[in-house]
Amino acid sequence: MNDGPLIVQSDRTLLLEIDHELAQEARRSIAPFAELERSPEHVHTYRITPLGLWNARAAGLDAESVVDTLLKYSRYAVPHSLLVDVAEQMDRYGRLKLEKHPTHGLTLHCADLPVLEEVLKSKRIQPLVGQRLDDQTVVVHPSERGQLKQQLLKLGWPAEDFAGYVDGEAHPIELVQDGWELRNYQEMASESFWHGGSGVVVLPCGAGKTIVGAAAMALAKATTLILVTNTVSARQWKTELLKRTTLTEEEIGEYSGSKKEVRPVTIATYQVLTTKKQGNYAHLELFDAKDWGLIIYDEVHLLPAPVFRFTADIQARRRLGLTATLVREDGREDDVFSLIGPKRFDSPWKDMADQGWIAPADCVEVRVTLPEHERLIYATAEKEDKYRLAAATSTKNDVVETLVAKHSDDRVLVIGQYLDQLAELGQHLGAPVVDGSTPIKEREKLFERFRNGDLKVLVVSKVANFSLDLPEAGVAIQVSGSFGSRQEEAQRLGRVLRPKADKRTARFYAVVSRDTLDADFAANRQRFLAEQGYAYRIVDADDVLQGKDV
Amino acid sequence: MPPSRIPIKISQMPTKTPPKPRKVKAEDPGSLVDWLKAQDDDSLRDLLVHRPDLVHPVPADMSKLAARAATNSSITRVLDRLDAWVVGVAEILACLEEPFTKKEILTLLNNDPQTDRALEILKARGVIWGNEKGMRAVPVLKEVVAPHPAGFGPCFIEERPDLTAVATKDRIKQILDKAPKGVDEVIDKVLWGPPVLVVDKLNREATTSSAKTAYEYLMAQGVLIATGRHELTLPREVAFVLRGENLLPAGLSEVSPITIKNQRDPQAVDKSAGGAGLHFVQMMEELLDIWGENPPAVLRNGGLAQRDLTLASRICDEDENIAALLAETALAAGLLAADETKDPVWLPTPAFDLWRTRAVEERWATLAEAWLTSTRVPSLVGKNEQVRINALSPEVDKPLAPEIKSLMLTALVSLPLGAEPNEDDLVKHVQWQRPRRESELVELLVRSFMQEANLIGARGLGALATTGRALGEMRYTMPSPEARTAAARAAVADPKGHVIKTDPLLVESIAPLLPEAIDHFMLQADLTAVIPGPPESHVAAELRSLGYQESRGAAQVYRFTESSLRRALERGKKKEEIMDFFTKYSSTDIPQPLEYLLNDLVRQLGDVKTIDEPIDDTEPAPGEKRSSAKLRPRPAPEGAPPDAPLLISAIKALRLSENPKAKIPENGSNPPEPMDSSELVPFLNKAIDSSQSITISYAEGDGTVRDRFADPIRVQGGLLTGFDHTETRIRDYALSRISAAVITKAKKNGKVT
Repeated sequence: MNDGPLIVQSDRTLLLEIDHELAQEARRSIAPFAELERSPEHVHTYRITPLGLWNARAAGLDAESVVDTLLKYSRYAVPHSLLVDVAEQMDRYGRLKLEKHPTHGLTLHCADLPVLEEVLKSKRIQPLVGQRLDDQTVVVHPSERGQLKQQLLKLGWPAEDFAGYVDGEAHPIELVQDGWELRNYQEMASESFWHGGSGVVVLPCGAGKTIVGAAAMALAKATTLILVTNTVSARQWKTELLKRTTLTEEEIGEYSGSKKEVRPVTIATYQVLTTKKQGNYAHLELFDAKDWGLIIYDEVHLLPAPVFRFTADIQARRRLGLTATLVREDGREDDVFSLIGPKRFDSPWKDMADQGWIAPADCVEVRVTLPEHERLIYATAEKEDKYRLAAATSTKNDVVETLVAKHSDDRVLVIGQYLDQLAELGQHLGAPVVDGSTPIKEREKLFERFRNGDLKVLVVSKVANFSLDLPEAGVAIQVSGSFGSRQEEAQRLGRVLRPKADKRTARFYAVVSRDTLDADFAANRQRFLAEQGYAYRIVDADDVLQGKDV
Repeated sequence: MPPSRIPIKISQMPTKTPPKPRKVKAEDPGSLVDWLKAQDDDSLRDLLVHRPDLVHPVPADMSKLAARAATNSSITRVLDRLDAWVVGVAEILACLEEPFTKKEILTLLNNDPQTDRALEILKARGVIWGNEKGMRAVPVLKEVVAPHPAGFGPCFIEERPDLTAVATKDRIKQILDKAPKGVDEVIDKVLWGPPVLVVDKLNREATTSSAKTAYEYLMAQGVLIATGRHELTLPREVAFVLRGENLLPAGLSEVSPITIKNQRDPQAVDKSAGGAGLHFVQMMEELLDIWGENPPAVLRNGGLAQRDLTLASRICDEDENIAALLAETALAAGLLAADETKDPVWLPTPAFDLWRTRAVEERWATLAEAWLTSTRVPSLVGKNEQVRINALSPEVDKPLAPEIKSLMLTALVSLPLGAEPNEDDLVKHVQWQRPRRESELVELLVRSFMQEANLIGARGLGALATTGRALGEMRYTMPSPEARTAAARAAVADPKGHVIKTDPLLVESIAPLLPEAIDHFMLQADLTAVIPGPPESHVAAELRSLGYQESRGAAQVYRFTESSLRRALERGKKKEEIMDFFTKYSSTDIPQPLEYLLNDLVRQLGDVKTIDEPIDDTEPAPGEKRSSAKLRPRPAPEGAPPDAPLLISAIKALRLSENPKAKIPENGSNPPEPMDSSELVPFLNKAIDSSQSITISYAEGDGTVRDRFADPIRVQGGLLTGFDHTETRIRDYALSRISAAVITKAKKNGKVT
């Protein structure tokens, strides 16, 4: 019997026992072809999917080495059917080839006639291809390259893309590593992206995704379009790039609601790209405004549908997606993979925390009990109002106040969904509130005060969910969230995960009302955290109020 | 050899060629009866072992045996179970003038060294008899091999004297040299039979010059003869020349070797097979567990609805083929049966409860043996013939299945350890072994059984594992009649009447391959429990009752949710019990959220009444059902040899019938002692085990009570089967009519001392 760390299950999942001495080695070997599904404290689950196997093939791995890896690390017999399936799936990749053609531009080539006939028969493929050149070749319109690849993937015959990438307009960009240096995983992430051509890098909040973007730009040395979620985030990107690279103020443009600058490096918001004028997306032409050599999608899991569609048309450009979680509440993870590219790098959050790259976090759920009269209202409320009633109960205010007082020497973010609740809390705590209506300037001023320690407590709404760089926040208190959104929970935890100067552990409190929808949604959100390896504790609000140590 | 000297013809056809005077006259071997009488016991036993239909029922005397052995149906059965070479030789023999000599045969078969083997087998099976100097075949052989023995058509020399000119080497060569395109293909079709072609458009008047097709050309040249409006036949005379004066295809006497596709490490093969075997057992337990709670309905044709099969495949998280294999194997092993109610459903039997308490290796052995001897072909499920074939329906039954499985395994056993065979070769090999079976069916069976062998854990990485070898050997030992009788008796002795057969050979074969069972699990904060290896049955069962299984295979993952824990609490589990179970078996701390979730549920559910009854493992859990159907003894697969006591007695009966003066002992000194039915069965079993003769007082149908001196053979279904010395035949006695019995002195060499 082999005493490996891996158990290969017949349902195509791989269980990795992480306390095993070979666990790290095995993890590195299976990462190229298996998707990390969850990473709780003892056993990590990976899954072998056709997509993952094809990506591995695309990265130059053959079926034999995949099988060898499984056999090498597996503790028990590897199901024969799985081995056969791995070989068969990987064999499907590359039968179809997208190639450049001297006269016809782009062609789909296949030496295996039945396969070509099968895909050409599909109604979804027919409109994407043109003239049949011979038995093995058919012309493809260059603008349909992404669509075609996506559809072929859905048919189970992924095409190998030999058509390559355009280099774009060259532009000198170098990293300036003074007083900081690229961490090894950041380098690995940017390198593996660069060698793969296009793809997604998954890193937890606080692990320095912006720097991975900067490193990728330094590798591309070309004009770059960066798509971000909002204006604040755009400015943070700009600040980071100025700090980390040779780029100057003049070389970086902002393309947002207020400014429309197109420069060698342009940072645009998703919002402006999806703004419609007379029924048309007026700003999508930004994609064509320059001969971009690289397009970076920040928070790629939030990519809005119109940008999705447009991304399909620019398959010849290198694309880098950055995200902390690939969980999309709309379940379109596969579209991200097929349009942006395969996952090029990821790492369990807990591993990063163990190595000190992100702050270790302590997650605590504080349970409050609704007072009698609120319980009655809750019980008789309409279904759609229930969550709001439970989440925004004023009982939470005292608890939050106690928690804030408890962490008076730390910087505390109070995060919530409902504006009136936040306003009330702001008053209660005597802290400023930042929400969507706060002017950008005002926001930046408040954030700056928070960063330099002038302001200890800040109450924020959804605007804090993404790309908010507040590295010194050590405590986050969540009072309400958008229902059961798992990625939101991850993002909010991310707020406090930036490594602290004194290496202290971050605290993440979720205050929920017992026996209500609030608690149910909280359970759903926390499952995600637990799957990332963040075990949470549950404490009673009374204990908190009585000043017990939690 | 000129055509006029073609030595073969077929009896249904009027003899076209005058018999040629023989140089050496063959000796007449006499009649089959005389020959049978002259055989020793071993030869007789061999005959009966291979032709079990001859002893059901035991014939009264040798002439009856000979008559039965020479019937069309019996000879057909014999030929159906012979390989291509022996069948080919038999077909040639059917055309010979009797008696024939070995020398003659050798000449006809180009002195093929395998000729002796074929003759020996045919003789041992009672198809031919005699010695080298003169042999005869059972007359019915001609009918059985008709209409085209060895693929030859009829002789036409009389009706078409011109054939004499055509059927010469030189003329044929001439014809073929000038032939238009396509002629070779036509000849290939008819050369080795069947010699008849059906042609759509045929101009029977065509001449060499007006022939439009290869068919018409060959007809015009006299190579093919029009025997109907659309039918052409290759005359025997021409075929003989075309075959290069060979009667059988070259190379027929040797089976083509099975080539090796991959050579695997035998240890890796075993490991893989062990994993598959374990998985198969686990899936079976899980599926039947769930069917115990939500039994699927029995369709009107006796099958399982497609929808239920799909559900089953989801339960096992595998495809429908595997679900069908599980269902069919469960049925074959007697773990699943239709209950006998007005709206019948498929339910696990009481035997399932017994089965699940056994060790994994024993459980596997039960399933593997059921698979080996099962006549069910799960891969037919979902295929369309006239209607879609459902799992568990009668259409899935193919009596040929166990025979093909055993041939396949035998062939695989002969390969070196760890060798993965070329499947096409294996198909050809089995087709050669059974040339008279429909070759498409044989191919389908071989290919599906190879797949099934993977799933059940008889093969690993494509090569036969130790387990598969044991199954292959088993086919040889299984007929060991003593073992079968002992197993059958053990089954009867089972207090609950449930049959769980576990062959020690099979148990031993898989036991070392199975990973060690693990009795602990890891609880994680995402509310999952991971058993990092094959779980102890009771731990897995408990976790199944508390959570939903998320991942299957060597290890198992369960997820606890609000609804899964609520289900457990509602069924009477107490919170404390659950916590104790976690504390006892979890190798990690119990995550606090899990404890909170339990507490919350207990609070919501209020006081739940619990059931404090001891749990009998062999009884269904509350909410589970069991089929009322008891197991019936499974019929032996077709062609399985009869058990030993029956054989011995049958031979004895046949011998005595030749010599009716056998002594019947005087029993005056030793009268039968009165016995009631509770004493009688153990007494009879003891007599059977020690091969002693008995005397019983038996009330005949007319009411008279007589003492019968008998050799008991078996007790089954309220009947004693035994050899009655007075009547010199094997007969049944109703146990209820036996009033007294006594052991008559032990037999020596079959004689009473």
